[in-house]
Amino acid sequence: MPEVGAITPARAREARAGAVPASVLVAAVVLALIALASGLYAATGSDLHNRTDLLARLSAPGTPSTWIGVHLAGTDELGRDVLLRSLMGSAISFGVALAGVLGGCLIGILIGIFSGYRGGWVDRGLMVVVDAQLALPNLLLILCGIALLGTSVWVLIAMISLSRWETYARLTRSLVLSARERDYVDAVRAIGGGTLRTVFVHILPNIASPLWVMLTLSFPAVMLTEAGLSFLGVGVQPPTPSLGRMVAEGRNQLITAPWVALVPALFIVMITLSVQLIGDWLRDRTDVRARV
Amino acid sequence: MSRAILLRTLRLVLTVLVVLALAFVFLRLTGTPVERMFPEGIDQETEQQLTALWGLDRPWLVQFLDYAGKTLRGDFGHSLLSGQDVVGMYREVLAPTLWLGGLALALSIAVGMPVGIYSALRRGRSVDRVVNSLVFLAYALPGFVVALLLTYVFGYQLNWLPTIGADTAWHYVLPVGVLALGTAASLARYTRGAMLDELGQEYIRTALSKGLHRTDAITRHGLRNAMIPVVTVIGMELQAIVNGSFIIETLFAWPGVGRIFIGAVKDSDYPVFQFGVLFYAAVIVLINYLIDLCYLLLDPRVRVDA
Repeated sequence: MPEVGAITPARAREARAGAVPASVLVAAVVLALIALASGLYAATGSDLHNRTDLLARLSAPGTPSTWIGVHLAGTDELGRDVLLRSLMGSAISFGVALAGVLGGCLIGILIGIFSGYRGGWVDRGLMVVVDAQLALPNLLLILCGIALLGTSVWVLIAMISLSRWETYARLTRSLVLSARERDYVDAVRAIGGGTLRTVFVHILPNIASPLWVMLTLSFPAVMLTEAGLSFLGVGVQPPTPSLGRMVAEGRNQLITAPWVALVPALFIVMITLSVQLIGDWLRDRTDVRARV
Repeated sequence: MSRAILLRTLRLVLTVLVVLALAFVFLRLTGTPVERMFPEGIDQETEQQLTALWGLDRPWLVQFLDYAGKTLRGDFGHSLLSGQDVVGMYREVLAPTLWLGGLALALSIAVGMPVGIYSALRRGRSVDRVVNSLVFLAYALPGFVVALLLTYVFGYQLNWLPTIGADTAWHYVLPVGVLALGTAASLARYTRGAMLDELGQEYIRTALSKGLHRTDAITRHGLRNAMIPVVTVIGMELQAIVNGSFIIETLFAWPGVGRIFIGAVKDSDYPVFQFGVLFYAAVIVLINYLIDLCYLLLDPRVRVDA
């Protein structure tokens, strides 16, 4: 058992690897490429991903096409280009996940700040709600919302936000609790800074970096939630492509045309693995305990 | 100790009541059953008749007591679509779902914890690094993608395992395996972390220096303390299993609660949906209750301040 602070081979390796590890760099490049390609495609406002070609149904990857040159990743049951649909699906998944994470963050951070800064019974009451929600499977909560409000992208985003705010609220609250005892907070108050000013101009920037890490770490989980919901058929509705739904639909042709399901599945894997790698690395860098 | 158990049992009952009340309020908030059944609207007279028939003109409190009473008697009404008795619908599919979830939870504990402990004891060595990478992969990959790949390889290419339904024991291999995979990975992660925390503590050094065998020091002292946070994680893993079961049941055409529940969500079949919510809430509350009891056994400190 190594002593605290002792130099072990493992720790020496970690210390030497102070620079960005290769895996994280690769992940960042992969992520940037997918984000850029899907973003650029979505930005053109093109509708080519919905273009059907019934004469070219389920054609294998690399089949020459009548309208796009070549179907690099093949076509699906309706003869639509799988690669274009995967790109558009990625853009939508990114968008929904980003909006969901930001929405959840906004609610969570505001409640966390309020709870942590005010303290007292408000704090206790809010933390009971947080604890109750932590015990609920978030998919169950989202499904309830969808059952009551119907399926649409906006309901999806709202429910994803509402299903995750409690993790951000918890973290923010604990950060605010320690930050409000600092000298700089006393100093701001002493020169007449109001509550809003103290909290948003001074405390929030100081506690921002762990919140950013949290945001990154929760991103793959949110993307998987969206993919899972779309896979179940209660997320993004057709004909809008979504990676999860494409996997679900392609499942039926897994024997005859495996690319229909496997290409979008590959996109999901690349995106979530990359974000997770980057998130883990960020966390290890910022976690003071792990750095000692 | 018995006082602590009593308090926790009271909390269990209270939680169930709160869930019942919430389910009632939320369903009422989003419209009356009449509106829900006839979204395109019906004439005033029929609406009044139906309202009187279903007792919706009575005060809320009376309605709630009636609803709670029916719930306690096990009367959950009928499906709006098929007219089937809701409880009957779920009773048929209860066993496959409980087996699926229970086996997955058991498998993930049986695999995840030993792997985590082993990894912690071999910290920094090649075994630890390989285990860490595998755990990372299993943790980051979505269950349905893993399921898809395994179905493709073992179901279609090799033709070793069935991929649809729950007829024989072989049908359980893929769904249980996939459901347990992510949970086992995160359990291994937490167990490793908790073990490393405990192994660095002074009391382990004391145990070793008074001549205790290394195995005894680790299992009797370290492991017992490391179990406390790990038990908490098992509670959280339960949610992952419920989340995953919705997807896995759909994917493997599992005749289970999850599929009926998802169907009810899609079709807005409220009585069926409502019972599903209560079912999942009951399972979660019950498991959390059992976890609380585990704390009482594991951690003497909790027994005092209950």
